[in-house]
Amino acid sequence: MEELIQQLQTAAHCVWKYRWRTAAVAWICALAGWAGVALLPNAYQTSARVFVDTQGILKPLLSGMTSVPNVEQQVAIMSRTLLSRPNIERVMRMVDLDLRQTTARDHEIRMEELLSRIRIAGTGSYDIYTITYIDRDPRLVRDVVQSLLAIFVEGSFRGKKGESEKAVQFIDEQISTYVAKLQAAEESVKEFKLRHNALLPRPGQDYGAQLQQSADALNTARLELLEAEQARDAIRQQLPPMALTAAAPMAREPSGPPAIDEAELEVRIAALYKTLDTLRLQYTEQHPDVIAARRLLAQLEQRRTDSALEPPPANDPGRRYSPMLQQIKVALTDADAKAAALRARVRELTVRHTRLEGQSKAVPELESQLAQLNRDYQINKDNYEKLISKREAAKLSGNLSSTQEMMNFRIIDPPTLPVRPVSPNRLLLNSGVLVLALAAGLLTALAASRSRPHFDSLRELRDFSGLQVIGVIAMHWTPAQLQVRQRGRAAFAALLGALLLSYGALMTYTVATDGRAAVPGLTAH
Amino acid sequence: MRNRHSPPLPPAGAPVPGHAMVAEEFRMIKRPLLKKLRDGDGARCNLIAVTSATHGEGRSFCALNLALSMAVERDTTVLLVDAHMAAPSLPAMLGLPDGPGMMELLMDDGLNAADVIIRSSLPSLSVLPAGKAHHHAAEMLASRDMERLLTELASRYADRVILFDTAPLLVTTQASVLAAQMGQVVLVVDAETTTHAALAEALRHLEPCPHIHLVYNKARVKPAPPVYGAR
Repeated sequence: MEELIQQLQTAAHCVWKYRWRTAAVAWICALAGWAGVALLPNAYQTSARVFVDTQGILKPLLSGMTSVPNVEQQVAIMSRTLLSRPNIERVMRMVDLDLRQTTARDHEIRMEELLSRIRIAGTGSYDIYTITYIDRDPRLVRDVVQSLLAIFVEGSFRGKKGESEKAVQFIDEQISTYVAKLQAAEESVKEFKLRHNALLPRPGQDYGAQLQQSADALNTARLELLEAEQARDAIRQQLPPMALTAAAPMAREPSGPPAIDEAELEVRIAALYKTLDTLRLQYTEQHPDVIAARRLLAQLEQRRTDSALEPPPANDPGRRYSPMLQQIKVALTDADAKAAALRARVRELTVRHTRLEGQSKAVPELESQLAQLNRDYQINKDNYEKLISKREAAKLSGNLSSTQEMMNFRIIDPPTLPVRPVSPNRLLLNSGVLVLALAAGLLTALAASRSRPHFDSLRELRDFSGLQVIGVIAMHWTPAQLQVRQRGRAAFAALLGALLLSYGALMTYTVATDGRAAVPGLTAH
Repeated sequence: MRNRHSPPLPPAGAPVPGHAMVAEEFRMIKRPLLKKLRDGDGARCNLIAVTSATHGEGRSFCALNLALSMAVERDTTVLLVDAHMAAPSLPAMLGLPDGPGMMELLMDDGLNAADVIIRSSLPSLSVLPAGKAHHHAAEMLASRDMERLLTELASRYADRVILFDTAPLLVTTQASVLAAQMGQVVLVVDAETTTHAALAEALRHLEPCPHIHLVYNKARVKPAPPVYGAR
């Protein structure tokens, strides 16, 4: 620590020894530096901030209906492509910069300069874009930013419109081809139906169902026929007893229906045989009862034989005028008619069914063909309808992109005419110059003391010479010397003070002139 | 330069703190010189040259103050010889009148040393001025006459110390010529102006001298409390 302090003291002493040199160097450096700072050209900067509102109310409303353009991406691309050569050339024309450049090379250089000085920054989360430009002329700075802003806003309305128009055009072409396809399909279906009309099933019924249905109908008809015949037979069976019971009370009408008499005879004969058998089990042949029974039996058989020989009487409808009989006869006739009708139906159904069965190979073929045709037609129709709806969506989308509602530009900060230059920061630079000048002075002093080293301490002398140092004599001042020394110190202090004072004055001037120019007239454009 | 204008010690009896300090400093310096002298190793140890590398390093100041300091020793007398032929500074310091000096002594054989030596108010201190400047001064100083003069001066009184205030070593050859004949050399080093190179060069000039002592002049030291130095 002591060593360090000693070294510091030594260094300070060195500087003090070369203080005049220090002051001179500091002054020269400061003056040169300040002059340089004053000569630096002013740079003005202005910036415009634009808020691109892409979250408009239209977007959620239309999000299900149409393809909503990706506005964020569009804006991002726009902001990146804004600094293209054609755009910069437009800007140059807009601010009349191209008039100043005579040669192509100047033009190129100027354009490069512009490109390098324009900054476009966008914030990530919000669509706020900042356009910044720095140049020497405040008016030019504002005009350039204004022009860029105009190009930026205007560029958003072009871009997408042509794109959607192209899409609509494409879809239109597709639709026209689909219309043709659809018509062809419809035509072929119609032809097919005409050709195979008879064989084609009714809508909703295929061949199997039809066959089944005809079989069912046939069976039902057969069943009904059977029922009708049974009913008729039943009626017919009821007819003869009716006729007998009608003849008996008519006091033995000889011309009774033989069929009915015969039947009764048979019954009686059978009953007599039974009775006879029973009698013969109890009695002999000579029993009177057996004889009587035999005689009766013979009479009856005689009668039966007679009736069989006798020709049947003519079937006269009005023979018997019993209303009951009449009714039964009517019913019988009805039943006969019904049975006949049913029989005809059964016949017809059988024919149809047979025919259907005969077509069993041809119909599925036709059906599948028809299904194929229908499917093709359906596919075409679906596509056609989809295309129609898409075309509408594309038109809507195109309209959307061209509308202002989708991408709303709000200029938050319009470009202003900058009053104060952003650079050079003269306050900072002048201060830096002062510090550097002082440092240069100190360095000069140190360098001088290093280049011609003196014996700044007793130890140094001892180490250097290796000889005995027999004494140390302190500095002794005469009053005159003290006076000179005082004067020198005062002069030095004045010199340093003047430096600081001029620094202060310079700063005051810089602040007072808003940092426009440290020396008026030097930075004329 | 500054020291050249420094006044000599004021008359005794009016000590000023600064002067007391100077006296103390030279007391410390003279002690090793006198010790060497009394030990007597070497014939001419009472011949002491006070020199420096260049001008303005406090050579004459040191010589004068050393002489004064030695003069107050009990058993020593001091002869201060101004050997700076080109630009003698002692006359101005001491207010000596123009007159014959060492040069005349060397050139004029008839002249006696006692005729030239000036006595001071201190009984034990006398001064031999340089005399008139001569462009062959170096040769004169290297001459046999000078040899003889030195021998005479050195051997006349056993208790006499002869102090030579010489020219700067690096400016003329006189100093080195003279120093070669001295018993002891005091080399004054200025803390502010003597550079390393100058000191090295001066030491090379002094190579033949047996005893070289350094004195560190114009040092930046805090003045000691006056209590210790004052008497």
